[in-house]
Amino acid sequence: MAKHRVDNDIRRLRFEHGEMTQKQLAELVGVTRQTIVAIEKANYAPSLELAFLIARVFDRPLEDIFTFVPA
Amino acid sequence: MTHEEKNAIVSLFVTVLVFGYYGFRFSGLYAEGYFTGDDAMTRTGWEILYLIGYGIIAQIIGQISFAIIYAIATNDPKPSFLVDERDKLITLKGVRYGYAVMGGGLTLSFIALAIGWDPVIVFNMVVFSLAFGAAVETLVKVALYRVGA
Repeated sequence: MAKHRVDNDIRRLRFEHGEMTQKQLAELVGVTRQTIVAIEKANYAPSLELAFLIARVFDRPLEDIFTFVPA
Repeated sequence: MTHEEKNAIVSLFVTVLVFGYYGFRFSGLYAEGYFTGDDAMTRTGWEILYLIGYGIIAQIIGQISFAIIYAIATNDPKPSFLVDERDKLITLKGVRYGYAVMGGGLTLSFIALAIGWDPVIVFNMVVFSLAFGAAVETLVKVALYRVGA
């Protein structure tokens, strides 16, 4: 059965924000670097709370960062 | 490697070592006839209590040793102990598989008891079901971390 996916623009946004590293973003939102890696690769869909925290770091609305891709 | 992933790998390694040692020790004692007579279950109970005791000590020693070795190997004097939402989700997935295996093992143990197997053996089947369930739980966690789920 095909699965839904949550794509994102985090990688691009990190580079637009002073080439922020995955580690720096992870520290800002209180998760491990591996979680940021998994989110960027769309292997892991973050909780709504974490998604809002990431959006706040980049000062963008949620839908500018995350895109729901139906199966 | 996250703190949880390191814990899982060490836990798996220590679990295999401890239960390997216990299985080896138990099979030797059983062959010698140590678990026969009126106090067979009492002796079994003590063996399992020893197992719990050295199992806990081995886990503590394993976790501390690995933390020190990993910190030296990666030249990271302040490793992170952060556990985040993805770690918790991976743990839950591991627990789900672990419980399934444990439940299967317990069912087999009770079937063995029902068909008249030696209660000492059945009691150890229960213990090994718990251990095997814990090992599968940890194995699933390690696998999920490795594939980057």
